[in-house]
Formats: sequence, C-alpha cells, structure tokens
Amino acid sequence: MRHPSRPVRLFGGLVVVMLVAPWLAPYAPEAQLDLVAQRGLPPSWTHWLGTDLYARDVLSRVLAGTRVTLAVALGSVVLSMGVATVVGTAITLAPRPVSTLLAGLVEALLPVPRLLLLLACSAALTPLSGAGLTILIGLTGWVAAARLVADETRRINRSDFVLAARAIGLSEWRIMRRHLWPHLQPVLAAHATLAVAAAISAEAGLGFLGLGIAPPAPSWGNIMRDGAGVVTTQWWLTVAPAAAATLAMLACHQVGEAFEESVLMVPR
Amino acid sequence: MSRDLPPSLGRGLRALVHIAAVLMASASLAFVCLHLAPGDAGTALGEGLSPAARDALRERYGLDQPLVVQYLKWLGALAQGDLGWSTSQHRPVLQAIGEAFGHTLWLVIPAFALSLLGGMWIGTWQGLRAGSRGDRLVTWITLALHATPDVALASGVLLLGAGVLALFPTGGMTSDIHAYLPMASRWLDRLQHLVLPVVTIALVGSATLARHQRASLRAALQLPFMAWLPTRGLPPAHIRWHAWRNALAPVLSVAGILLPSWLAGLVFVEQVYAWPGMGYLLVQAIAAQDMALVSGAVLLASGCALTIARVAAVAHAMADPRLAADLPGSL
Repeated sequence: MRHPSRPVRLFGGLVVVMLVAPWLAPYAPEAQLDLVAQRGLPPSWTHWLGTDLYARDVLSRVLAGTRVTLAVALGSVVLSMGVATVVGTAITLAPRPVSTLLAGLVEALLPVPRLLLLLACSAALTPLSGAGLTILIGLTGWVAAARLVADETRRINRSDFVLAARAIGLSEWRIMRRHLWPHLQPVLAAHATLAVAAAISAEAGLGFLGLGIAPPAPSWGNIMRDGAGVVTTQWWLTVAPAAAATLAMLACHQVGEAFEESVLMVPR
Repeated sequence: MSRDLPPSLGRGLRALVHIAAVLMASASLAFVCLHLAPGDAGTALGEGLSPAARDALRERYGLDQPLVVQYLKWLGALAQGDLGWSTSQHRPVLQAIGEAFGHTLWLVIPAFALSLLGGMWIGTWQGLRAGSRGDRLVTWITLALHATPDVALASGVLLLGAGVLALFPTGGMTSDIHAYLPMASRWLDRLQHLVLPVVTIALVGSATLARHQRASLRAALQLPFMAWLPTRGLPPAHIRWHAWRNALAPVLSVAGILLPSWLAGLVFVEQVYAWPGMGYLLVQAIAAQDMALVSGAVLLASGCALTIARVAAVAHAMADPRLAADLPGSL
C-alpha cells in the first residue's frame, strides 16, 4: 500500500489556492487596467502572465478562475455522486417497478454522449450562473456512477454480514445507512476524483465555446475563450489557463489512481 | 419475441428496438431543450429584423404553433426520413449533416488508424517492460496527455505547429486559393490542413489506448498459463503473442468507445481548427437556435455511438471466445 501523499498534497495545494486566490492575485481579476497602454501585453515583470484584450491581468484571472472552476467541478461531482448513490441503491433495493424503471433509464442514458447533452442544455440555459453550471454538469454526470453503485450494492447486498443484519431484523434503511453505504465509499471516492477531472474539462470546454459562466467572471474556460482566436499571437491567454486545468486534472488522476491502488488493490 | 425466433435474431431485434428507443429519447430531449430556451430562429437573427419580417419567418417555419404540434410534425417527418429544414443554412438538414459528417470522417479515419497503431504499439512496448525507467517515463507522458482538456491540447498543438514552427496552416479545410491550384497541389493543401487536427486527436487516442493496452498486457502476463508456456519450450516471441492475444479484448472495447465519441463530439478540435465537421456544425446550429439541425445532429451522433457500441460488443466477443457464449441482448 502506498500512502496517497504527494498527489493529495498537490490537490490540497490547489484547494488552498482556491480559497486564498483573492489575496494572492496582484490585481482585481475583472479590473480593466489601462485600455490604451496595457492591452494584450506579453508576460513581463509587472504582469507575470501578460494582459488580455481588455487589459486585465491574466495571472490574477487564472488565480481567481481556480476558485470558480474548482468550485463548479467539486460542487457538480458532489451533486452527481449524491444522485448516483440514490439511484444506484434504488436500482438494487427498491421494489420492482421503480427499480426496473431506473435500471432501464440508466441503460438508456449510458451510451448518450455527455458532451451532446451538455451542449444542448447549456445552449438552452445561457447565460449560466456558477450555480446553474454546477447543477448542469452534475446532472449530466451521474449515469456511469449510478451503474457502478448499483453493481457494488448488489455485490455487498449478497454478502454474509448483510444477510446477518437482515436476520436480526434491522430495518432496510438502517442496513442501507450502516452496512451498505460505508462500503461504497472507497469505490465511489476513486470514481469521484476522476469525475472531478472530467468536470474541470467540461467547464473548460463549455467556457471555451462561450456556453459556460457569463463572461466577465474569470473561469479557466472563459480565459481560454478570450484567447481563442489569437492562439498563435497572444499565446499566454491560452497557455496559462490550459496549464492550470491540466495540472488540476493530473492531480485528480493521481489521487484517483492512488485510491485505486491503496483501497481496491489494483496493481500498477 | 425471442421464443419463436433463432436466438441470435431475437437478440438482434431487441438491440434494434433498444437503439431506436434511445435515439428517440435523446433527439426528443434535444428538441424540447431548445424549444424551452428563450428566443427562436427569429430572434437569433438579431435586432435589425423588422417585427413583421420576424413574424413572417415564424409563420413560414411553423414556429408560431404550440410545442406539441411542432414536435408531432417533426416526428411525422422523421418517420418518412425527413429531418426537416435548417433555418440557418437554408437547405435540408440531411444535406447539411451529410456534408459535415463527411468532413468529420476526414479527421476521424486517419486519427483512429493512427491511434490504434500507435497506442497498441506503445502499450505493448510498455507492458513487456513494465516498471522500467522507459515505461515510467512513457506512463507519465500518456497520463499527462490523458489529463489535458481537449481544448487545451488542441490549442497547444496549434500553437506549436502553426505558431512556433510555422509549418502548418492555423485552420480550415483548405486555403483560400485552393480552387485555383493545380490538382497535385490541391491534395498537398488538403494534407497540410489535415495534419494538426489529426495529430491532436491521435495523441489523445493513442495515449488512452496505450494506457489500457499496458494494463491489460501486464495483467495477461501474470495469468497462470504464462508460467506454464515456457515449460513447453515455446519461443519467447510465441509466448508474447499468446499474452498479447489474451490482452486484446479490453483494448478493443475501449477503442469501441473512443470511435463513436469522436464521430459525435470532436467539438473542441473542430472548433479550434475551424474544421466544418459535425461538432462545428452543432455549435453553430446551437448559436443560431436552429432546432431541426441540432435535433438531427444529436440523432445522428447518438445513432453512431449506439451502433458502434453494438459492433464493438461483437468484436469484443470475437476477441474473447468466452464472451461469445453470452453476448448480452441489450447494450
């Protein structure tokens, strides 16, 4: 067993940045500094990551974007894991018509590309607030996790300790709460860290297409959109948020793998 | 249904019914979503249009009728193979989608071939020397590629190939002067425009496949029979072949997930390189609130995803004879 220390520290670092970003940022993220003299400046000592077309400091925007993007990603994953737990458990334990209906729903939704759903819905809902985007990404991301939860609960439900719990007459609710859900945690945690990476990617993608959070707010996707047409000339607008997103996603993958390695004993 | 039919036919029919049901559900969802959005094709044209012209437009395309009527009309036309009229492109939806799909295939076919070749080769190379320094380095690279958002990777490759090296054009399918070039130069022009997007997709694809090929081959090398084969005096190359063959099935099923997702959603790569394929079309259609075009694109994309998932299940079963016995009827 390897203790998941380094990736956890990396991810913890990102969360700390997310919390203290307003104090770290050298300028206000939405302030237009000098529209004439400071538009689209390359990286320099005064602006470490340059400025954008509206003369805003890119470093400040990326730092502030950490908070926005990670909040959306973490929030949406909490939401989707919650839905997945409820639906997945219901597929295994709920009475017949409900469970077959839900199982059919999951089977039907599983092959539909998530990106298509996200695009169609976000187009219908633009302009989105942070909370709206969180709910949207969360509600399109629970299907695979629900399937995972259903499979796991079915496995745990067949085990001897659950049978014993039933035999001594515990209520189904208590069995669910005290005997099923605690055993779901490692599997769900490993899945959730990868889901955070997917949510970061989704936010970046939607922001890039102009379908994410409404513009002046800084998110990694929004900053990439500012640099979209000028990748080859004003590269810092793309490279800075892209690097931040990649770093965060790498950390998620590392944490996920460390989880799988230590809890599920998957060999590397 | 399957009682009086041969079992394989019954399974096939059930799969078809299932595919049709999912297609209907996803296309209807897209239809309803877009109709619930504020505004329609009339308002999407901007402020410059007079209210009278706007109303005329709505009446012409039936946008003034209630949602249920519009939906039923759309369904009726769909049953006759008519996906409707694109209000933004001024031509039948089927025609617009057909053209865009062709453009997407230009990207997907070479990229998929490259990913299969590259990914399986790299993964096999890694799996055979797992734990070595080279393996760990390549594992890091594939993980980094895997963890980069598509938009970021596409922009990065664009920056490198078109910005720093200045070897390739920044986007589009052809140059402006394409039509005036001699035949040989036209092909060269096309190829030049193809390189960067294909490289982007192939990087993602081969990284993903290599990771699965490596894990799967490592697992296969630890199966009990791998200890037995050398005792029969088989040459190492032959033994490696047996391990590779055993590791094939999971890799194929991952490839079967990749391909349809590309046909449906190369949204970001096409957007970054201004490549007029399915993803590009979809984003444009969404911006113009072109309901018929969006529903059609979603229908076709999910159709691709489902059909290929089905084919991948069959290929998976062929690669692993143990699964051929109980190929699931539903997906």
